Amino acid sequence: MSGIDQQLHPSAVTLWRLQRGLRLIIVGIPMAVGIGIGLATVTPALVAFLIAGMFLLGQTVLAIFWPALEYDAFRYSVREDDLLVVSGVLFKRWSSIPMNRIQHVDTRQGPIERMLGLSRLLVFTAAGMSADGSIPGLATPIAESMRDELSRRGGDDGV
Amino acid sequence: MVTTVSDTNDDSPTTPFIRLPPIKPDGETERSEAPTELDRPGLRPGLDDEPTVRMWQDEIEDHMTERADEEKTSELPGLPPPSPPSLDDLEPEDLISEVSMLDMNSGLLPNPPTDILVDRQTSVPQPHPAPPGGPSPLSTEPETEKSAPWCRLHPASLAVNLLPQAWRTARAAWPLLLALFIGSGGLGMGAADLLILLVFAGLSLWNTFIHWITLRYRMQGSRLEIKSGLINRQARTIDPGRIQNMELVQNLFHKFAGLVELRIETAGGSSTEGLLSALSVEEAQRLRSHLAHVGSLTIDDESAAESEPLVQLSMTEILAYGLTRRTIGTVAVLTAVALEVLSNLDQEATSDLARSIQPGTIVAAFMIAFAGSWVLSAGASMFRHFRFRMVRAGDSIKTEEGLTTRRRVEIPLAKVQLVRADEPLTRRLMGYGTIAIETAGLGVQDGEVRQAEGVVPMVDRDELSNIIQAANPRVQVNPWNTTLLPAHPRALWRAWTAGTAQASIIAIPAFLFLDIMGWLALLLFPYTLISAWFDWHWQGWLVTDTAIISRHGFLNRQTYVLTREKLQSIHMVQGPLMRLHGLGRVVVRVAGSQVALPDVSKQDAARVLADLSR
Repeated sequence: MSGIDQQLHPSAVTLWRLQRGLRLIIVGIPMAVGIGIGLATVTPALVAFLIAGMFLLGQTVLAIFWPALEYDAFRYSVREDDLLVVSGVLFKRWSSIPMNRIQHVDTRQGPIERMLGLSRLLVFTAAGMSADGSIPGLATPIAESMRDELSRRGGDDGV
Repeated sequence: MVTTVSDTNDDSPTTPFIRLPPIKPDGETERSEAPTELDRPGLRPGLDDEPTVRMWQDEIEDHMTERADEEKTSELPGLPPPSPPSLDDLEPEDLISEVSMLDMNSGLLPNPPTDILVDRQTSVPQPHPAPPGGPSPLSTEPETEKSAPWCRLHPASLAVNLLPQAWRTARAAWPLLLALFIGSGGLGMGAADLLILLVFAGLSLWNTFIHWITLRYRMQGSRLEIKSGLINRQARTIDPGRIQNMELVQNLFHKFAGLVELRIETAGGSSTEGLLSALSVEEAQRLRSHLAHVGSLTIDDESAAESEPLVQLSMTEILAYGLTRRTIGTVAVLTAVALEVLSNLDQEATSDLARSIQPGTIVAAFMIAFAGSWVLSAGASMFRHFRFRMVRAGDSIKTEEGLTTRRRVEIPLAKVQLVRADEPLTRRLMGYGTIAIETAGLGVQDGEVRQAEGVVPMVDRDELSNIIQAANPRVQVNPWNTTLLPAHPRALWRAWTAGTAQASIIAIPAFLFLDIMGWLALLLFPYTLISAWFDWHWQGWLVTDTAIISRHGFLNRQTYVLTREKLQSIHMVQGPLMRLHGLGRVVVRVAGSQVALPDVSKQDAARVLADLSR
């Protein structure tokens, strides 16, 4: 696996932290409250409070440190015949998408991504289950030029 | 092709319209089929812009409109041919158009095979000069209304479809019906129940009615256009080159009315993309022969009988297939239903029964349920697969089966994505396996999405590989007499670790909180370990120059066979446990499915990934 050299834009870490932070507020805190109330019926209130607090603390630590690990683990490379994407910290995944099987390429931007000047690149094949290759957190100009280049190189779709 | 559909011939299907002396069929089909394949954008650069071409095209179109009637009659396989040897004449012609279409579909030829067309143009007297690159290349584009009228479904199809549709709805809604039946004490029907039933029946019949009244279709150039819908109107264009498989279904009602249902699957989408229910047999055959993009489409039984069948199943084999299907689920459902009915019938009798029940009685009840589900399963497979036969016709595979409902499925070989051989233990011991052929088309059948379009229920073990290669000729290896590469030894440890973790989630709480059943739950551990070993021991994989083989499972051994040329993407995955053991797993995706290879060492997996992504 030589030549997998490209990394995401460093702001991707910020992006993921913000996303995880948002998820913590919207989902994590209500869940912690739920856990706390649920446990309070079977254990002393203090224990329930502690466990809910630990849960929340764990999520916060994860939100702060995990994105950096993910960033380090993420590599991609546009090679002659395929696009190679390596991702995942615990569950690692190497994905190779042959150039001639690329159906279409999307770039997408959410509000946070726009704020940071980032774009997501989604590469679709005829396998049709989801985006086969997905590269989040690219600088928008890079994502757009990659999109244009990859979508130019299509070929026989094998369907 | 535009002009070949001038009218539906439902009213007078047997009257040939012959005004002119019969024309050599070469002329017809060449004009109607081959050139339209050239219509794909990009294949004829610049032609559209030339006014001279447009002039020619108009002239030719007029000419073709004149001759539409003869073309129709000469192309109907089901009709008595107007000129005696017309079917024979069609054959080389079909072959030629097949070659040209194949090449264009697979993208092997950068240019359309104009030499073939030119050859035939010179051999056939042409009343009008044809522009280079095809006689009427523009005839398919916008000016359509005048030449291709919309056709309707057969008038009788409404009446024919109502009853089967009602039955299908009733079957899909059977839990509800059962609930109604039991809830009302078995006999009396409350007004509300009746109303619900009526609403259900009405809805299903309404859909049938709308399908029949609003559906219009036509062959527009080489493409099939279907529009339907009353409130939400939809129009759909199906390119024959995109058809994944085609199915002709004829139930008893259809049979008596001389109708047939045509189902066309294209890639993606979870419904049947082109459903025409129903057409007269002649009309369906005419449509089908137009749509045939690869292979010659002779669907009459004589010519299908001529070619040597790849598989032909006897009654015994079909029965054996039914008996070796998994039946535990059915048994559970049957038992539950029986208990439910029993408890509703008579409360006192049931409680008496419950008091007097013996362990022996339970065993006996289960045996009876098993036997019953076996009989049901055997009967169902008899209905479904009766007189199963599979032939290779041209570049496609055709299967035909069914007792009351005959199904004819045709799968172009170029569209086969994946072939799977299922060998459940019982069937394996009998020396048989089942072959499933998958394309990218997803169809809905009896309410559930099914993946495999062609299923060969019982194949002799020695024949499994032949069938796979018939369905997928690029596979030049026999998984049954080749030594497959094993899974890595440490993969067993990984499976044991993961299995133990999973088992303890169930077993430990069960052991803590239940008494006798808790001890039984501990049996889960040895079971997990043993079954993991069996699964691991029989795994195998192989990557050759053309094919990829992956085998899993002991109780239900499955062998996946796919070709490199169909791969959409290649992945290698590694979870924490796999990393601990230095393992990697390759997952390949084709259109519609994905297949995981057994766990191997990380280095091997990386090598396979690099090899496949070249």
